[in-house]
Amino acid sequence: MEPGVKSLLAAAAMQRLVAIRLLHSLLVLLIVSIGSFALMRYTPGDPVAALIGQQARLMSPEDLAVIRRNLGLDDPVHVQYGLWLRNALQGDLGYSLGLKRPVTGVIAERIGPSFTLIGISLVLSIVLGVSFGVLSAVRRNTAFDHAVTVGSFIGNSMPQVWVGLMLVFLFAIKLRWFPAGGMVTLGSSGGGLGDRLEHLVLPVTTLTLTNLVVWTRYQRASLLEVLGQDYIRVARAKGLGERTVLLRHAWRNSLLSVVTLLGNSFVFLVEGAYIVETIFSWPGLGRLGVEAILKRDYPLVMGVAILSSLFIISGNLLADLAYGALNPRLRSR
Amino acid sequence: MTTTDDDREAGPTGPRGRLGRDLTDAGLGPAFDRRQVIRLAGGLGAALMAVPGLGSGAAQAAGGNRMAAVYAAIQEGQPGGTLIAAIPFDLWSIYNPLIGQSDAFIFDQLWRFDPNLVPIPRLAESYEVSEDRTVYTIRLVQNATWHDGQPLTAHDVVFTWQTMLKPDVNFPYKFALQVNGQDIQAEAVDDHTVKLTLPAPSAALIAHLTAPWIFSVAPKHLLEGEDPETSSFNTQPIGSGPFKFEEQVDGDHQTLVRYDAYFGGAPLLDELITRPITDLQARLAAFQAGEIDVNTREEDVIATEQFAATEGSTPYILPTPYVQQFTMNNADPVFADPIVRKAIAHALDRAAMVRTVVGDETYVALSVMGPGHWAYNPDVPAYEFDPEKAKSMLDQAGWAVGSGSIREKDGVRLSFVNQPWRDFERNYAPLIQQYLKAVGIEMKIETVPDYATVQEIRQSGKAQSLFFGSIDYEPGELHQYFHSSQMPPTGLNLWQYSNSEVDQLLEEGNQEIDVEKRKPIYARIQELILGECATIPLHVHLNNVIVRTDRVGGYPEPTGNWLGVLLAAPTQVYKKQ
Repeated sequence: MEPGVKSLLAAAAMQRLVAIRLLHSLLVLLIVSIGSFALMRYTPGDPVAALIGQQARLMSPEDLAVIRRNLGLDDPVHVQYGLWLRNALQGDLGYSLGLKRPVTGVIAERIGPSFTLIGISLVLSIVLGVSFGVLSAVRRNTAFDHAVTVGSFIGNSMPQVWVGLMLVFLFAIKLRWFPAGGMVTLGSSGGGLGDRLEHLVLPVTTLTLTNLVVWTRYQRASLLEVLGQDYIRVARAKGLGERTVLLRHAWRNSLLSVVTLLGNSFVFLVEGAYIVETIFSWPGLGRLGVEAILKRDYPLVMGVAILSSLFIISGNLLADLAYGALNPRLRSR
Repeated sequence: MTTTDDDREAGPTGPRGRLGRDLTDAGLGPAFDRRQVIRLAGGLGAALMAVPGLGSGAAQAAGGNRMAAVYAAIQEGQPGGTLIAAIPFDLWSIYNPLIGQSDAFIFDQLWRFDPNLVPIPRLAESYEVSEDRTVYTIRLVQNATWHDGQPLTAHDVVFTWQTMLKPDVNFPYKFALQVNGQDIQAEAVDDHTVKLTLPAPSAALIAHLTAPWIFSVAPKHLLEGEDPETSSFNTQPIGSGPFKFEEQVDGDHQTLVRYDAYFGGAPLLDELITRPITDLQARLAAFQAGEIDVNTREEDVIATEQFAATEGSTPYILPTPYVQQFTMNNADPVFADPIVRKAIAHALDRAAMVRTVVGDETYVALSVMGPGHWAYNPDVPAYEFDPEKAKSMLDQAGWAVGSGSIREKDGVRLSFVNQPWRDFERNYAPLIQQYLKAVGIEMKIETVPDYATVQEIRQSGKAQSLFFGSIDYEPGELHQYFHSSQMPPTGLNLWQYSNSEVDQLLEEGNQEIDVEKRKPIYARIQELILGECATIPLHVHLNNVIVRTDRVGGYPEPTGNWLGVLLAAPTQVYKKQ
């Protein structure tokens, strides 16, 4: 086959892959929306009762009934879902019952802080994890390798809550190097870039430490496996430099199994973000979602659920695409 | 890990405690001394002292010297500075009194509670009540202004009143502006006089109007014709209170700045920043790291002492009128017999329970309201801890020990379910279970995840036993909880208590507006409710505050109540420069 035709075919295959994946994603989103909607509605309690809240302030049942009716909560569930879906398809996720603002606006405010945490942490985990993994595999059975192995074993066994609290204790309370929480120093002194970076250090470290070790272990194991393959021996026998063997042949192929971790990593980070946001009083999506569930703020719960699934789906999509791009067999099929 | 309003992580875990000692070792300051914890069990009246910076002598002065002490603090205080306060729950996202979202800083009320929960004038300079107690003529101060400079007038008050009562406006406290379900009419007599016409006398009216979350005045010139649910006012509120709204980042902080033209005198502080930190460990860490000047609304002595171990801080333990109780469903066959309820009360060592859960048995509650309230009656039947007496009472009433060591009578087993959800309830439940087991009563614990769930169970009227609290500020609230007309599913008498004498007294209490005449009415109500052991008081709810007194002055004690206010006198607090 002509090389031109081959690449054209590859491109078409890639497009088809993307199209199918996108279709799958939409279906998943629909199922998630129905599932979350049903789950919330059949969970005991309703948002108006939660209004009274833990403050246990006195309200009259008649007043609450009026509010319930005004909010359309008396309608049948399928009617409410239909309404929600119709609006959602037009980009309107409704009004938060507790916060009394458009859900899209509330979420937009929280996306920034959450994605800053998750984004920085993801990049750091991949870069550091892959580097440690490669170095560790190449220098197998050296002191460095042992240190990495033991380190990642310990890292993997430490709960995020504990890591976070220990970092706060050590670096915020004892040494006073970094702030214990929040995004900026409040009052007149805070708000600069340096100040914002300082506030990022501990939460990002907490989130990264636990994620990083997974990447390290994966990369190390995968590279070691590839290095034992025949074609590596062939490449070396051909007289290729060790650098070329390692980077062009071995590492690239080892990435095939490493990129599949991307999908899992997104899930892990979304989960972890909630814990980290709570410890460091970080105004992110994880805390918002949990708060919304406790308050039975249906539209807000739906918004956060849809966004989180979208995020996780795109993580998997990204992993699929990266896998496709790296794997020639998948490309030409 | 939960992040609900009043929920908190229990237990003395985490990186605390040692810090105070380490600082001492390093010669940086004195270790925390338990004696520094100012115990104010005498209630709110006595609680209103201890202005920091005045020396221990003044700090221990009686409540009568309060004004002098506050005055001295003001003189000592320098204007300026930023105060950062922490609260354990999320802030309102928006502000609009018309839909029940207001506070006592940005907005102002007609009255404000004094430390004994007696309403004192704020926007309302004075008021007169007609002979038949159905017409209130309220005179407003002349010099109050909105933060945009417009004068605050009677038309604002009337607009606020009428809008809140509209059926399509989601104001959740309409009941406070009604009597027996009928609207109270408001009209402006002139620019500074409001006339309220009541369908029938109401004792609680002024108290309801004093609660900042119920009736804060909203500006007519900015909100007329706006949809209160979606108005742009909600995120940039203009109030008339001592502080102006500056900005709010949800889940992170809110910044208020001084309103120089406040009619009651401008605050000393430049800025008041509030940080909502829902997690106890995170709050503690921020306080220990010096990022918080005032930590508010800690509910137990155990956590309060953890905070107070930070150098330079002073804890204030503040009992409230609110009493946490353990209540049994009177309509349930298990509890229909008052002997069973009384035996349960005798079986519980409440002093030990409160010591374990709250950290100090001083706060064991005797009645359905706390000792700080004017209507409090301490001379109610008490049920001392006496398991043998509990057993013999049950024996005599015919509850014989049956299978599995559980008592039974006429086919009814002395076994019931409890659904604890807040941390303190989850701490109480196993203790109660053990004490009851010892006298042959079984309590099964079914933990529920959150308030919304437990509320649904309770409102069905089928909850067998439950934890509940009363009262916020007004003894008339007892009507909702103990009057026989308030049964579930619509009412809040979830324990289905019914007593015709109590019903009658509650109605009388709601119509009598003279406090001195109301006192004996509520004293008798408490006596009757406790006499039948309709509920078992556990502890007086605490609303503790820990202040970095090395940095903050003029702190005259917050009122220990669920008022949603951080400070009782926000204008007098200052930052030491």
